Amino acid sequence: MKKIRLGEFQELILMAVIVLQKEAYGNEIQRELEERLSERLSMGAIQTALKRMEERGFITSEWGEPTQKRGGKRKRIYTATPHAYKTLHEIKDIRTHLWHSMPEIDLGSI
Amino acid sequence: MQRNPDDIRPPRIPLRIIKFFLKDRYVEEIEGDFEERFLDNLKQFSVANSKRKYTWDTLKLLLSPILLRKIGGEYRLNHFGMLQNHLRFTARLFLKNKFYTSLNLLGLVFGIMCSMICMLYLQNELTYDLHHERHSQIYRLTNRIHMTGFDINYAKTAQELPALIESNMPELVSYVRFMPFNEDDQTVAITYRAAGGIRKQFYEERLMRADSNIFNFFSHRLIFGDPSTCLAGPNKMVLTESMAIKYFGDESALGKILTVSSIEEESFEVTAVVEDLPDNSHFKFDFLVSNISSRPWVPYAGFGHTIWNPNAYSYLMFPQDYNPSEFSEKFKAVFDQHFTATAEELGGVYTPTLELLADVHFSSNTQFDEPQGDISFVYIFGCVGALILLMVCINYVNLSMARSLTRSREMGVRKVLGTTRRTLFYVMLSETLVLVTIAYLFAIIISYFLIHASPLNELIGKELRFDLLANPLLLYGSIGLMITVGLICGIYPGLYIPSQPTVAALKGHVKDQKSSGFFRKALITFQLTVSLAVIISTVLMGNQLEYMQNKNLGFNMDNLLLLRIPDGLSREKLQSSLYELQQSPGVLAATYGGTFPGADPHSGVFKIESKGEFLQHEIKQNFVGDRFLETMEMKLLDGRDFYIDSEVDELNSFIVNEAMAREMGWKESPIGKKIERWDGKKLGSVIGLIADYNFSSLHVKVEPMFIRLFREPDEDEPAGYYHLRVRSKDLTKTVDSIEEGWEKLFPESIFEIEFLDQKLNIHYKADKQQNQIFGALSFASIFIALLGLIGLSLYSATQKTKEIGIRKTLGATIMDILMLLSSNFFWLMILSCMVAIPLSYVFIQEWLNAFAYRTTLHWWDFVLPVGVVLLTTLTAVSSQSLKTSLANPVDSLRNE
Repeated sequence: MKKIRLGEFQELILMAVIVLQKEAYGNEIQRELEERLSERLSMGAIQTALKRMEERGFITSEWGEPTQKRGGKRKRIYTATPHAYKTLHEIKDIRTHLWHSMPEIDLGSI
Repeated sequence: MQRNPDDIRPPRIPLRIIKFFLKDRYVEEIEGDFEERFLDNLKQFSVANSKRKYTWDTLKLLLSPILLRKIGGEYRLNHFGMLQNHLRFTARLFLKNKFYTSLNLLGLVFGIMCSMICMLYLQNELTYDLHHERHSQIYRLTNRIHMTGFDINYAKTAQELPALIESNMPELVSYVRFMPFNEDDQTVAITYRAAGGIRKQFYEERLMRADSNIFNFFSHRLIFGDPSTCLAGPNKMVLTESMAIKYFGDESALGKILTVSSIEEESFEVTAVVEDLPDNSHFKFDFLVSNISSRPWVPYAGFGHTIWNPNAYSYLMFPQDYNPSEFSEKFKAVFDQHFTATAEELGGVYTPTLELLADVHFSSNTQFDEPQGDISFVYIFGCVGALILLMVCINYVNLSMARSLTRSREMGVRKVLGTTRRTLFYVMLSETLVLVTIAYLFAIIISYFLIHASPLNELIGKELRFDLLANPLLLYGSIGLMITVGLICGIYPGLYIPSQPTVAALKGHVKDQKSSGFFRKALITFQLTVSLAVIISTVLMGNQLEYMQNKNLGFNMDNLLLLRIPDGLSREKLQSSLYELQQSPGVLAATYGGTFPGADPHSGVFKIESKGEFLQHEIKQNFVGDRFLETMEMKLLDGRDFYIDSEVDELNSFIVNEAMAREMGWKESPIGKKIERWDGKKLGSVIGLIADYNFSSLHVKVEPMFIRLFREPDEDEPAGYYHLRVRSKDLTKTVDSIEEGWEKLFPESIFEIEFLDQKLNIHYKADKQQNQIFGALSFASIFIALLGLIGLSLYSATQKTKEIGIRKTLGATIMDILMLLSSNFFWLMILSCMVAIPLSYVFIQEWLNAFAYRTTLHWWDFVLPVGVVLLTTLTAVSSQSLKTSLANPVDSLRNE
């Protein structure tokens, strides 16, 4: 796990970036995740995670088109790198393995 | 007041903050994201709420360190690293000399705080009425009416005039008039009868009739209701938010009915609620009602006479860039067409004036007006703010210089190690800036509490708010202030201390330069002079206030209760109620009067016999009931009082005061002199002469006046006040029994009892305020001067450490050394006294000029404050000197 270095929150964001494709910029990511997690997230946390993952080569970013709504400021569109896809798969595999190794639990008794 | 959604921008201040802190390459993206979110929020939430969310979200970004610039700069230049070092050094320096640091900090906090409050005050005073969007186009029409016997600048004009102007001057855009609900600006009772028999009734003062276009004319914001229709149609009412809460609580005010009882009862439907007017608007109202109709009372026949009877505040709106002189030219033609005939008949001269809305607060000079601002107060506050700040800076510089001995050695070491003079200058400057910034933060907190949690606002008669984020002028102004103070304080020591010769500095041989010593002494003398002058003035102002409090006014103002006579009483009811009230236990005597002493009586125009002919005069008159002189304990000098319970004297007999007898030139007894109405109708004659009594404030000389007896209330006018002289013992019991009687007499009317001596104090409220402000100022100035003195004595003590050591080894006593160190200051104090005493004398003479009745000045009034100040300062000074003189000479001499 150590070599992967992807926190849970970062993982979520990374997946949101993939889901959103061309629409993956700060606001949209936040909106998507807030909806899926049904809780409020702070922009600071999301931006921090994005910047950190960018430094580590999980995502790349480029300027998008400026829109009127943003007061003429450009969006920054994030895309996941192949490395990110690989890492996500690894994480998923590890998890699936773990799931398979877990003894059956009767959820009804909890 | 709808706003275009495109105009709503996110708040700018948080944006600036994050722009400053964020890494440059992230700014555009994040700013855009926030702006987009803000616009989305607008669709869901109110503007204020969206703004709050925006601010909060942006500021939360500061918690994510990865997005922020590194403190030492992103590229870690050596410069920034050095700055970090300076900051660390500065912090150590501050902590090392706690006494010195706190002295400096105290002064700076105080100075910045005072000037911030002054800034707020000035902002409030100088932005009167500027919140009206079209204030540059709005003028108030006032006029001067000059006739034989009187000459008055009225703030009100005839209510017919604006319409006449509109029909003759097509360039007039529109006009709005306000009229007091009844002619005499009297308070009225307003009643709300809720369902279920609950009844709320209050006396209200600011009830106005207004034209229906007022909300398109002025920029008042309506909370509920439609601005263009709310006053259209009869019996509509608009009230302010706080009045809506007062009468209706949580319930919606719209559609409720309020009943106004003045001369008769009238009911109004509430159609709109307006936001409370800003504190800085010259014209204030609580209630506005429609029907600004024809005059209820027209004393003269014909339109031509109206102009001579001003009764409405009129506001005219002209196009942009209108030249008011154009108005007076055109008005002349209008006047000639309609009013020349009456002008000749009355011998009157009429001069209209247009006052620009924003100028009304300060430059208007009219009577029958709303309270005015005083431009001299603005100057005083401006000067005081600047002066205090200056004194604080002076102190800081003085204290820094006092520390230069120790600092010089450090500077020497730094220079030996290769620091340039320029860098040392920045080192010194950054120290100052850091201290000033800390002081600024403290000052913000203290000012906030001073304004919101202390009686300061009451003291200066304002409703100031310390709202740093919502008030950009305050925010940027105070930051500018902080930087200026930092620069003023930092530059001189920053230049001076590093300039000491390196070798001498290292050896500790820093000598005081003669010239800068003189400079410092001059600064201290200046401070002392200012504080002495302010303190003496405060004491003398207090004397005058006390004098006015205790002056014999010509009647007995103690234990006299006032009760308003309910409107619309009949002749019998007035007399019988007076009799009933007189019977209450504890009431010694009772009468009634149209006005009470302290409220200006109305005046009328009469023709009065003087040297065989009848001359027109404007005379103040008070209408009173039986036993007036007896109840008020006034002195009858000549003639007789009114007959009790008789109709002989009613309205036709006059008791005049001495001032009137003098004014009319009645050499021998005034008894029997004839008085006629303005139109020549016979009235009656003078039957008595009373000693002058101060029926107005002590600011003015007693004017000619007479009193007349009335037994029947005038239908159109409020009747006045019952005057009850009561026993001083068991006052509450007396008041209770009066109330009981009142409930029986007038179950429908409000029982609101007032004490005459308290009512009289209203006249001296402004003077008292001034005195209190001066009190605060004297505290401030002496505080700062003390800080300065301590700094200076510290300085001279450190300068003379070695001298003192030598003197002590040679046998000088501690007393000798104390004398040596303090004598310098003693002479400085004497010098400042010599300047301060004449200065305050001149000032206080000027101030007293506003009073017709003045206290006498005694020499001890000057000596006492001076003595106290001298003693305090000498104590402060010698406490510092004592420390030095007690030091062991071994320590001070070893220092080589």
